[in-house]
Amino acid sequence: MTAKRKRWSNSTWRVWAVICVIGLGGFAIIARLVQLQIIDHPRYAEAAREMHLSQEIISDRRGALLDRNGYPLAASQDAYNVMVESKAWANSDDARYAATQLSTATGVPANTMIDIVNSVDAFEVPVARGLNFTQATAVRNLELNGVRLIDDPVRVYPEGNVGAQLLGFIGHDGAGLTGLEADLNSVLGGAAGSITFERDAIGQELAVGERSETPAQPGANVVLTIDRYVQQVAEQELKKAIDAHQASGGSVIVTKPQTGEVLAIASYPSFDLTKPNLNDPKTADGIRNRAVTDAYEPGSVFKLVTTAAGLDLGVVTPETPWFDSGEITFGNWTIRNWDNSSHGDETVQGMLTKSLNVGAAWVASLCGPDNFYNYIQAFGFGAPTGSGLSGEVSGSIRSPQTTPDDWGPVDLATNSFGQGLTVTPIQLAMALGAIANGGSLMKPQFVKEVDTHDGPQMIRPEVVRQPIKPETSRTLLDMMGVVADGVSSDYLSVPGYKVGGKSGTAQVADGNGGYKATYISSFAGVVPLETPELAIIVKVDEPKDVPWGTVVAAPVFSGIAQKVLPYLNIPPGGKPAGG
Amino acid sequence: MATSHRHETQATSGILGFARLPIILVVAAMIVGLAALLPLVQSSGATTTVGDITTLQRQRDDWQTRLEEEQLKVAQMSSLNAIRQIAVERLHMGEADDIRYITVDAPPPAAEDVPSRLLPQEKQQTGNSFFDDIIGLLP
Repeated sequence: MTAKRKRWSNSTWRVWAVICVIGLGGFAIIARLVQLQIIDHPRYAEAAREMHLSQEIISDRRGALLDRNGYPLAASQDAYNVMVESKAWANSDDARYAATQLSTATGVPANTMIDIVNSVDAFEVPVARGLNFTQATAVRNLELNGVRLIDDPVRVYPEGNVGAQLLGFIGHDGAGLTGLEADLNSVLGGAAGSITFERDAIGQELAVGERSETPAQPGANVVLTIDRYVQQVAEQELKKAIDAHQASGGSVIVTKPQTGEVLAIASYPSFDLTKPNLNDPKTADGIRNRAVTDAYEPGSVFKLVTTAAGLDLGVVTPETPWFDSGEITFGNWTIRNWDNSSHGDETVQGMLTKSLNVGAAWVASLCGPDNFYNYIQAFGFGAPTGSGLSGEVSGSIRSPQTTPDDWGPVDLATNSFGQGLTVTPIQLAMALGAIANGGSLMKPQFVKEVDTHDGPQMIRPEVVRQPIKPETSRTLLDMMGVVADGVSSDYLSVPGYKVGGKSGTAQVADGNGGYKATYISSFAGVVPLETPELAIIVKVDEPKDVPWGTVVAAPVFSGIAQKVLPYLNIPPGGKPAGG
Repeated sequence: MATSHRHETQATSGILGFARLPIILVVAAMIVGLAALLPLVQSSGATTTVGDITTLQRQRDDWQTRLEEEQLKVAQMSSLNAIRQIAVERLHMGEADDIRYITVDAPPPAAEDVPSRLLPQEKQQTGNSFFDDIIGLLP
């Protein structure tokens, strides 16, 4: 009985042991299941979703840059690259057959494609690039194994290199790198979208699987204020002058003074917009939009600002007499006229017509330093114009208020005739516009309209401030007309129209406080003089033969005005009010 | 008689029940089998529809691309360089050697009125009819 109980007792213990082990195992399994199915459910469900779902980023067409009349200056065109899986062409016979078929569709020799695939150790190799839609359709219809097309849109420029620096170019990723392509990238580029879909084991989309799509937003078309014809004429006339005088570079800006709209902005040297070679230093130099990035000493063109200050303050009139002794002293410095001459009894009009430095310094001294520099700042010098173009510089203005330790009375004199300070052509163009439009300094406008999917957004002209009174503007315009009348018609002639202008010839600063033996020739002009419709700034850098702005830059103004005025239907005397 | 009839009925229903059961089972199995095929049919239909949609979307995209290509061709053909090329090569035009500007002092001709026969005909104003007068009297 005792032995039997003992045996039973042993077997019971074993049974319970087994039951416990099984129970513990079962409990562990249940615990693990609870953890997987309940506690960590969201994490594993998400992981499973990620394994079954694929996401593809999609982008829509990049917006176009259009001129003010709607002609495209830069637009995107669909293009395609042919990709070949290396494995699919491992067999030489298969490769030969496929390459021959592809060759007829793409125009790329079959041997070239085979060589490309054999020479690159990669899963997939591009064998033909930049196919148009017809070629791509032909390739698609071949239905070759291991061959597929990928989108690779290209930027095309119907007007060629017109406005190269302003427009800029995009990179391989489709993002703008320079010019307006970069500055307006967020507008032109639109917004990327995505497609999320359920995939099979080899990554193919399931026909009846889960699918969601966030559509990409196409980029907006941007209508510029630039006129393609005016831009081309400006570039051609600038190039003609640069070639004629073996100059190193230059800039031209054509604006509508009433609105601040920029019709043309040209700079030289330029670059090939259609195939920019960034390894070439000349390309890097040509990319720079010198009209906004390069500050220079404007020379006698700046006498317009000095005269405007004097007239607006009422300290001088065009007829105010003064005596030109040929020199004027400021501290230890003596200022002389550009030709070291003296003209005796003169007027303020004579000062401007003959471009007398001594007279300009005298007017500035009548204004006084504080007033003089206030006018300079009011005309927008010393600060970016707000053009929105990247790389725009402020120029350099030293004054008793801003740089008291780096300013002396002689600076008032030199600044009065445009030396010892630097400005950009775009600043000068806007200041000239203020003189021409009745005294309102406008913000330079390059964009006229943005056509988004929500509709067009018009960009309105913006008045920055009123540096001079309307009557000062009219008086100064008349004085500019007298100045232009004094220029030989060999250099300045716009038949049928009255012109106003002022030339400048400034030595180039060497960066060490001195000057080089080279010059910058410039001309600032308006036409028609009665009601100016165009304000044009011409700047030619370092002409080799003659330095004079009248000889080098004024003919550029004439050439542009002669061609552009009839094109814009601007009659002599200007457009009638409301016209 | 009544008992006998009940026995007959029981025998008949029993014979019919046993006899029909396999048929019912087979029919049920067939229905279940066919019902199992229903999702396949639906799936096939959905796949076909998705395929059609994809094809139509591709056609739409192709036409859109063709349209945009044509628009670009038009832009390129109307570019300044293309116009100049056509003017020089096809029309044999060239830059003028001697440009003469003529100033005309006479005022531009006054705008002439458009002949009345070209203007839209005005509706003849006629007097109110008798019925118009009556309607006009209504409050």
